[in-house]
Amino acid sequence: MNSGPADGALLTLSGVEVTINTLSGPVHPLQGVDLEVFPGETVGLVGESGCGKSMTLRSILRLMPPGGAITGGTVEWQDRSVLDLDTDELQTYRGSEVAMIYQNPVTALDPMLSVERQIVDAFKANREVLDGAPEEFAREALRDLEFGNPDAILKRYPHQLSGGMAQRVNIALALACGPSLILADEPTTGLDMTTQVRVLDLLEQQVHARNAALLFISHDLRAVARVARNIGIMYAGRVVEFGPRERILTEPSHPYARALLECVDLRTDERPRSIPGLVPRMTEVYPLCAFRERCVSRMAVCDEEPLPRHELGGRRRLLCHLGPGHD
Amino acid sequence: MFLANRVVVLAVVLLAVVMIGFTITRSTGTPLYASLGVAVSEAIIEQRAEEMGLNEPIVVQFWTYLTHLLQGDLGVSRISRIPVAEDIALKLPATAEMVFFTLVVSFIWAIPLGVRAGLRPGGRLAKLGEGMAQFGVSVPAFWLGLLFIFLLYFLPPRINFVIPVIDLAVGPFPPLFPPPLGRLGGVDPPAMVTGFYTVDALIAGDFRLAWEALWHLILPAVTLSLTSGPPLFRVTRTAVSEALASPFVEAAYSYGLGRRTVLIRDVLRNASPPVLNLAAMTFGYLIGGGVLVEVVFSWPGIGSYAVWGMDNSDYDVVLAVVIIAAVIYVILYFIVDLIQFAMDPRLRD
Repeated sequence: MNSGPADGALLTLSGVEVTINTLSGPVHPLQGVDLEVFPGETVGLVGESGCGKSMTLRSILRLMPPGGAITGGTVEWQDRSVLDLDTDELQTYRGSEVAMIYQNPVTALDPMLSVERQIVDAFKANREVLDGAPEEFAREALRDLEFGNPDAILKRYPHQLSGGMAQRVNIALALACGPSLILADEPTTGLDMTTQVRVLDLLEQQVHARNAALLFISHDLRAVARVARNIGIMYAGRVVEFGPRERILTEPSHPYARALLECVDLRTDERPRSIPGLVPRMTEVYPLCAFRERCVSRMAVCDEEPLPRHELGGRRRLLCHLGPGHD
Repeated sequence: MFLANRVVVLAVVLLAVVMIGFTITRSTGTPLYASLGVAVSEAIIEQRAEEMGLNEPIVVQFWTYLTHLLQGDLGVSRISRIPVAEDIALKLPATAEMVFFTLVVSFIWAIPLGVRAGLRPGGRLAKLGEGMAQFGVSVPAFWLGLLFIFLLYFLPPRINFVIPVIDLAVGPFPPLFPPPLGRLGGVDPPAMVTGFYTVDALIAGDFRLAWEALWHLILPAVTLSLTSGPPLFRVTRTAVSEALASPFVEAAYSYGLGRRTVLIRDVLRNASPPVLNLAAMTFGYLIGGGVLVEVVFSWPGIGSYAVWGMDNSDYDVVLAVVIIAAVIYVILYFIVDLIQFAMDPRLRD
């Protein structure tokens, strides 16, 4: 499975596996994730809840929940292995190379600390020397995120912020140490519609202004399609199909990707449909295709052989026995 | 607003305590026989009752008590004829010092082990803490006190034997702790400043005396800490593990903040309010709840004083201790509220 880091990629995940030991036994949220992110690009990951999207982002930062560990595969940052970083290196990597924006903006902020303290601490986290007062940096950071009155916001506490404001503060925190990759874990899910658009625009604009790359995950294909140039479809702890947005949205190859697209067909006004069958339980390891129980194109080989991996050129990749160009 | 609210609550709580305490103490007996004996004539008893105001209607007695109380007059012991306020001023510091050191001991074991158990559940220190907590809640405090006295004071001088083969004489050893007879062993207490002998001795520059006072405090404090510390251990453990699992802790790590910073800045800060609350509650509880340990160690505190008062149906003594304990409770809560108010911005809005 391991093909080594792709040339020029910022981040390369190959065959990443995560196991979490819980009281009721082990869970395997990631079962071999392959993914590359190149400098300055925007990549989106889509999938049902529980497919391992959030865990993929956490494995990139090596932030594991209690009992969780990366048990297989490699995570490469440029030419370094993230899994081999020591504590100090990891601390520098987090925040100044890769940073994350969380799903629930209010709970991602410490309720006991002022906005100013949190931004200043994030600023100081990975900088030995700041040329200027950290408060000035914090004010600038908020101004970048279109806060009209940064001084008033700096004095506030998280519970005094609306969801949209809190998420903009989170974006400022993530951008504080100038990372070249931003991970966004459903950053607009909890916000109302108009705020969603504004926050998403602002996020894109700030990320592009810094020439940073963005890895954006959502269960909402529309949101991902709006932002991402390349899209990966996740199912049961794997990226089953990856490719440029246009390909994925118009002619996806994986049966799951097609089913997902039909669910949220952007072209018709029909009621969204659901995919028959059950979401796979991640307490099991799936050496064969995990989708085959629900798949309309199931073949004999699906029950016998492990998933083949088709590299289709132009960064397209497919994990399916059907292969490309069946139709 | 917050302050005004608190003061009103405080007044209502205290009035209720006085009323209930007054009713209960008046309905459980009379100090007449304890102070006069039984072999006196009806006339003398009647005369004494008249002197003490016991023949007045209960409402009038209550009103008299309340007006005196508001002037700081807690009454006079019907037995010793000493004003209750004087006795309390002497005995409250003894209890307060013991309870204070109890909390110090708890802050040495229960809270650090609780923090550790919250950070690393299932670790060896977590198991040690849980073991101590299990032990502490299952033994009575007075029994544990007696056990300590037996093992550390009584037993060492009585160990005296010879190991046969190598012909080695073992013991007797000096006792490890002083006899359980109060706050100091037969020496004069330091000049009264705070009423805490350890502190007053240090103020007087007498280190030997301070050491002596501390030495007398250790066993009662450890006894009370082992039996009152388990809730502190458990609450700390829960608070820390909850704070640790919060999204903002993961987010703090993701910005590149170090483990130490996140632990102190986010985890401990967010875990501290419930722990602080319980520590204050424990303090308040022990002011009255350490009675049996006071008795075991002959500690001249207000617990022993209340027991003495009850033995003699000495209304004013018992009632005064109840009121003092309630006042301390209320004041402690008020202080904790102020601290939390200062710490937690959510309470300020």
